[in-house]
Order: sequence, then C-alpha cells, then structure tokens
Amino acid sequence: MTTGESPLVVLLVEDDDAHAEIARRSLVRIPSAKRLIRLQDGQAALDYLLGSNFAEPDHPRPDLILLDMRLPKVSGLEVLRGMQGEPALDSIPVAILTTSAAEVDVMKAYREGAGGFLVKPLNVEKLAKLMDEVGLSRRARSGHSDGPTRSK
Amino acid sequence: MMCAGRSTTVASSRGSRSGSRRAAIVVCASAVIVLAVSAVAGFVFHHPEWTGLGNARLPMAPSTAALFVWHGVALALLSKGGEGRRIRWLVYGMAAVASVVASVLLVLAAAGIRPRLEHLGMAIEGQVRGIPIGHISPVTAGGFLLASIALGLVVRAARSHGPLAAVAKAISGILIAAALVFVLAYGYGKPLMHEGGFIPPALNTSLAFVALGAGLLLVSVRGTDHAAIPLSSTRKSGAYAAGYLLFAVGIIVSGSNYQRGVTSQYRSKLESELASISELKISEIALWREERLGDGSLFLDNWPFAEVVEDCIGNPNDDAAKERLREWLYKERQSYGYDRVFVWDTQGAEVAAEPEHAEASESHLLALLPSILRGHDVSLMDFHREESNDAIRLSVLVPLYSVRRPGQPLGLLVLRIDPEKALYPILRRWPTPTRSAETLLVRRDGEDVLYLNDLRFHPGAAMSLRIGLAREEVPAVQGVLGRTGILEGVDYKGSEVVAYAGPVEGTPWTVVTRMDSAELFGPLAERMWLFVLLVSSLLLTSGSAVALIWRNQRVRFFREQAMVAEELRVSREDLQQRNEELTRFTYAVSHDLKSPLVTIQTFAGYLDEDIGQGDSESIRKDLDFIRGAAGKMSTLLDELLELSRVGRIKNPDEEFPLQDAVNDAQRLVAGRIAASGVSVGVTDEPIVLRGDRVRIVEVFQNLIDNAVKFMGDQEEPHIEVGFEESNGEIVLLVRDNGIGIDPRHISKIFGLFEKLDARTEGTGMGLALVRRIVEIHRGRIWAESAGPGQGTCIRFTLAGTRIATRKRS
Repeated sequence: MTTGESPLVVLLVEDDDAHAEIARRSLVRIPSAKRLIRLQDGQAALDYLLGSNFAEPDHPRPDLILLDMRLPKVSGLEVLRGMQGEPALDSIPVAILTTSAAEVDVMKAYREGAGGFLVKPLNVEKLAKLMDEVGLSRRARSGHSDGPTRSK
Repeated sequence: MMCAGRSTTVASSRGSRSGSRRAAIVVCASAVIVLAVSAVAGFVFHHPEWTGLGNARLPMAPSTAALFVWHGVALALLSKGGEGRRIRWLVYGMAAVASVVASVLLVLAAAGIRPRLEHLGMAIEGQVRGIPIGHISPVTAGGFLLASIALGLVVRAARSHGPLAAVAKAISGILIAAALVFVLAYGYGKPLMHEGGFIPPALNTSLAFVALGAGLLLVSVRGTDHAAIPLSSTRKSGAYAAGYLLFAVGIIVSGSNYQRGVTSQYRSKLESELASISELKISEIALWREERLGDGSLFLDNWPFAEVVEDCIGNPNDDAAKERLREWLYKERQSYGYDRVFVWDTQGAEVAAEPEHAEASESHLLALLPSILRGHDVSLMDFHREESNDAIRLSVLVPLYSVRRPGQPLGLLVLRIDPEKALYPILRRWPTPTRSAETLLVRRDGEDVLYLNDLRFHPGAAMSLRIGLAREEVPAVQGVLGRTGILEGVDYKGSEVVAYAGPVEGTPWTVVTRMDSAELFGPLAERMWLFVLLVSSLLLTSGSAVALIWRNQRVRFFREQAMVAEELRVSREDLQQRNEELTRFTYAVSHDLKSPLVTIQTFAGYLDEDIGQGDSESIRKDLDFIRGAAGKMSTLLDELLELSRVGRIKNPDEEFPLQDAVNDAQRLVAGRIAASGVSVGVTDEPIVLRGDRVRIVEVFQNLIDNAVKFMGDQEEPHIEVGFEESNGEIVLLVRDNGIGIDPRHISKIFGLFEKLDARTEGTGMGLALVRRIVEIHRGRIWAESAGPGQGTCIRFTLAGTRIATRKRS
C-alpha cells in the first residue's frame, strides 16, 4: 500500500442511512487509501454503473461494490442481474450486504454473479481482508494487461 | 364437501363395477352357448322340444347353433376386459371368419338355396308349419353378419373409444331390438314371417340374439368406462336397470294378457259364427233331403199313378197308358228339376223314362231292387257314380205296388238327382265373402273319409278324394269319427284350419265347415302386428328414455366432478400463492426488523468507543442513530400488528357514502395535508360503499397520505377522489398530480416494506395494508402512472359499491 497509488473506489449501495454510516466508519478504520461513493437505491446503482465509461473524475470506476440486498425500486439482486453481460463490469467484485446469510439469498446472489458476502453488522477484519484482496488484484491487473498506459 | 366425500368412493367402487359387468358378459355368452348347444343336442338325441324350445316350434338350425357357439366363445374371451394383444387378435380373426360365413349363408338363404351342409352331418328332415327345418333364416344370417361386425369393431375399439365403439353399440342395440320383436311375437302366439317365403328365425335363435346383443353392448360400453364411477352412481344405474326391467316385464305381461283376452274373445266370436253357419248348412241339407223324400212319398201308395204304371206293364202296347205315365214323370221332373225320372218293373226293365232316351240299367240299383220292393218305403240312394257315364248322382227310390192285386210289387220309381245342380249349390253358398271358407260333405267309406262334393281348392274331389281315418289332424276325419263342434287341424290342402263338424241326421253324411286359420285370424294377426310393434316401440322408447336419464345423471356427475376438481385446482393455486406471499412476508419482516437491530448493536459499540474518547459530538450522533432505529422498529412492529388485524378483527359491514369515508380520512391526515398545501376534491355522485367502515377509511387515509408524500414540488398539488364505471362495475380512484411512478416499478408498490424512494419516511407498509383491506372486501387494486412527474392514479373496487338512487327522482 504505497501512497503513490490512487485510492480504491468503493461503491456502497445502501438505502439505510445508519447502515451507510456503519459502512463508512468501518472503511475509515482500514488503513488503505480509499474513496467511498454512496448510492441510495438499486436504480441509482444501475444508472451509475451502466450510464458512463467512468472517465470523469467524480464518476470513477468502482474497485469494489458493497451492495445491500433490500433496496427501494430495484433490489440488490436486480442490480446484479443488470450488471451481468456487461464486459466492462465483469471484473468488479461485488460483496453483498445483508442482515441474514439466509441460504436463499446466498444461492440467488451467487447465481447472479456476486463475489462474496458480508453479513451485517459489518465485521471490520473481514472488510479489511476483502479490501486487501481487491487492492492486490488491481495491482496485478494493472501490471499485466493495462501496463503503464493505465497507471498515472 | 359432499362432493369431495363422494369422490373418495371412486377407487374402491371401480373393481366391483367392472367385476359385475364381467359377470354379466359371461352370463350373456353362456346363455348364447347354452341355447345353441341345447338345440344341437335336441337334434342329436331326437328331442324336438329342445331344438325349438317347445313342441311344434321351429327349431334352431345346426348352422345357426354353430355360429352362436362361435360368437359366444368370442364374447366370453372378451369378458375379462383389458385382455392382451393376442386375445384381441384372436377375437378379431373369429369375427372376420364369422362375418364371411354369415355373408355366404345370408346370400344362400335369401336365394332360397338350402345346402345339406347346414345340417352338420345330422339327419334332419321335415317341416314345421310348412317351413323346412334345419336351415338358417336370412334374418338370422343377417343378424350374425351384424354381430360379427360389432364384435370386430369392439375389439378394434378396445383402446380408442370413439366412433367405432359407438357403431358397435348401435349395432348391438339394433340386434337386441330386432330380436326382441321376434321374441315378443313368439310370446304373443303370432310368430313373425311364418307365412312368407323365407324361413323365419326360431324362438331360441331370437332369444340367443337378445343375449348376444346384450353381451356385445356390455363389451362395447367398456371402452367408454375409463373414468371411475362412484359406488353410489353404480347403485343408481342398477336401480335404473331393475326399474326398467320391472316396467318392461309389466308391459309384456299385461300386453300378453290383454292380447290373450282379445284373441279368445275374437276367437269365440268367430267360432260361434262358424258354428251357426255350419248348423244352418246342416239343417238346410237335412231339409233338402226331407223334401226329396217327400217328393218320393207323393208316389208311394199313389193309386192313380200305380194304375197307370200297372196298365203300362200289363199291356206294353197300351200307348195311351204310356202317354199318361210319361205325363206324370214329366211333371215330376219339371217340378223339381230331377236329372232323370224313370220307372222300372220288378225285373229292372225300364217301363218309361223322362227324358225318354234309353239308358242301360245300373247294376247296383238292380241289386238293391228286391230289398227296396220289400221295404214299402221311400229311400234315398246315397252318392254314387253312374256306371254308364261315371256321373255322380243321388236317387230317390219309391217302390210301387199293384192296385189290382194289393201288396204285389209292381216296380220302382226313381227320381235321379244331379247334385251339381241340386245339392252342391246349397253347400257352396256362404253368407259372407270369404277367401277360404267352404262346406264339405263327407261320409265314412271303409277306413277312409270320402269327400262327397267338389272342393274349392281341389276340383274333382267329389267321390274321389279319400283321406285315411288315421290322419286325425284332418277335421273331416274327426267329424266322421263322431266329433262335433269346433275342431282345429290341418285340412286336405295342408293348411291350418278351424272347422265345425256336425252329422246330418238320418244320413251317413257329415257336414264340415272350414276356414283357413290364416283368414280367420288374419285381421287379428294384423292387430297383433300392430300390438307387437306398439309394445316393442313402447319398450324401446322407455328404454332409451331410461338410458338417457341415466346418461344425463352420469354426465351431471362427471360435470360435478370436473367442477370440484377445478375448484380444488383454483384453491390449490390460491393456497400456493398465499404460501409464497407468506414466505415473502417472513423474509421481509426478518430483514426489515433486523435492520434497525443491526443499527442499534453497531452504534452501541461506536457509542462505547466514543464515550471512551470523550467525543461528545459523535456520542450525540450515535445516540441519534440508535434512537432512530428504535423508533423505526417500533413503527414497523405497530404496522405489522395493524396488518395482521385486517381480516382477523373485522367490524360489522355497514353502508355509508363515499364522501363520509373520504372526509374521515382527510381529518386523520389533516395536519400533513395542511402542511403541504394539497387540495383534495371528492366527487359528489351518491356513491354508497359497503363494508368495514374503519378499514375503508384507512384505505383512503393511506392513499391520500401516500399521494401527499409523493407530491414532489408540484406547484398546485391536488388529489382527486372519484369513480368510473367499467363493465357494470364501479371502480373507485384516487388520483394525484405528484411525482408519479416509473412504470417499471409499478408492480412493486403494493408489496410489503417496498419503498420506491429511500428518502421518504415510512416503512413501506401502507400500500400493503391497503391492498389487504381491498382484498378482504373482495376487490382488486392497481396503480397507473404515465411515468415520473406524471402523477399517479390508484384504482380499486370494493364489493357492494353502488350508486344510490337520488331521492328526488
């Protein structure tokens, strides 16, 4: 985690303000550099993810998506479904935030392409581990394929 | 519930039902075979009463019996039901063979060709009522052709019950009906076709066809019986069958009683007619004879006549005397019309005759002469043939005695009669027009009956037709043997007759009046035909009526069953839907209740840390979050309780105006309405709602509240409560000009805890509650919106909503 790297972009899709605050505070405790973008519902998430090429600075490509399951208008599952088949979004890991690790949720979410689960209340160690993995994989990817063009 | 209970009997009853049908098929097949085999046994063991079910009945032909056994066996093979391929092919082959044989026999029988092969090697000769026995009737052959076709169809239709089985059923029905008509005709004593040129079917043949037809019908019905029939319906079918059978037996028995009464009445009337005609004839003949003898007695002891005769005999050359004698004879002949009147002397030499031509003396008269002369009395010489010309004559014989020498025989006066002119006309006369009636005059001649007059159907019978006394079935024989009155039998021409016989007093003659039964009972037979047709049509109509009722009942049963099944399916679907709803509900509740809990737990931890650091700003924030979550949880629980109350706790139904409900609702959310500056408009049509008033007010309250909540920054916020009529139904609506709903999300808004906007307050339970209340009132609810910014319209129905009739009109 060198400081020269751009911060990890975490997209939090969460309608509940309290839970968003929890996620924010949890991320603050993790030492790596990161940027949190919060969206309040599934529709907003889809708009964010599908609506641009992440070229603008205030609309960066997320490195990790923390997706609540129960969302107004468009549920977490529907967001997953909407992301599927979008090659640009394929490599973005998605962690589901849920109040219960009920089997049904897990099964459905995996089928729709979720990468992992975080059961509320959020466990900071688990979140940190996930962030480490995301950071490692980003470094590996940029070293490999994109090369120097992508790195600033 | 009753229906459900009935359907449980289905499985158990099926076995017994097919079992009883199987038994019925076996009974039918056995009846067919037993009837056929007993007929053949009758031929083999010379028991004619077995061959035709009774004496003097037409027997079943051996060829017919063989075909019956063939069909009976085929039927028995099919009795098991659900038989294998091999059996069905076997029966199919049997049907094919039978149809070929029946066709050949049908052609032969129709053409009147009667091959000896039909006797199957047995020695069968003779006739019954003029019908040659031991040969198949064309009707029977046709019946077998139909039966074999039905058999083939039944086998083909064993799997696919459709038109084939229907045709088989129709053929079986026709067979039964036709055979029943023949059986009925036998039962009423007037067998059909017994007078025509074709051989009729025997009684046992007809009976066997009834059994065969019934068996085929039972087998062909099986194809349509895949659906299970409940025991109760089977019992009902049995009751129908028994009732119909009872009815049929009643009709047949009372019909036969009536017919028997009519027959005997008719018969006795005809017989008395016949008897009176006959008695009339007898007395006419007796009178005629008396008159002839009277003619003769005029000359007996007639002195002037005797003198003339004596003169002629005494002096053959006395022409004057001869002239006078001839005068006498001429007058006598003219007075009645005798064939010839002549006088003999005691030696048999002709003294005088009228007409005068000479004739040789008859030797038999010559032989009688001495006894006649001794007898002193007029006598009638019976029918005889003249030796000279073979003509049939009778003669009145009058002995003549001398006047001058009293007691001395003088000669014989003969008044010869030609019966063709004198007697036969009396016999031929009949008071009514008739085809076959006639009067016979017969006498015993040795061991024969000798017919004395010519017969209607046997010209030249007079004095030549003889029938041996052994043939006692001939009424003439019976009459000659001393029987009088009404007789039945077969006459000289071999036809059945009814006759009346009576002797003519003082003569050897017997008068027999006879009439063919066919003519006598012809009108009766016609009526019988009509009667048999009437009875059979009555039986068939009532039978089809019963069958129709039975069928209707079954159809109704199946319809009911289908309805029950449909209801069951619908309720099952409904249940499934409710189940899914419940699952969703539990899921939603567990998630949404847990969510504030998580908040509280987590912020309690943060609070701990923040207190440790003494960060008062953070402590206040933490506490706010905890308070907010607890409040949210409390609201959630309240609303859940409220939702569960709907439907569980229900106020009594009442009717109230729509406007009242809306006003109540507005009052409940008055604060929010006032704060947002929304105007609410209500229709003034006299709509009357019906149901739980508190709940319905809740509906409007929630809808108005919702509309206010999602009004957005509309400049002239407005909510309108109105109605529409669509397909005769009143649809209530709450329309706003607020932010509207994205059509993609419109289906979600009535879901539990569904919120379309995370920023708005509330738990997302309001519309779920509304939907629940509408459903409790047997209504529907749906939302419409042209899209974001276009406003929303919630439409719903409530059962019992109506427009009140205005009091003024």
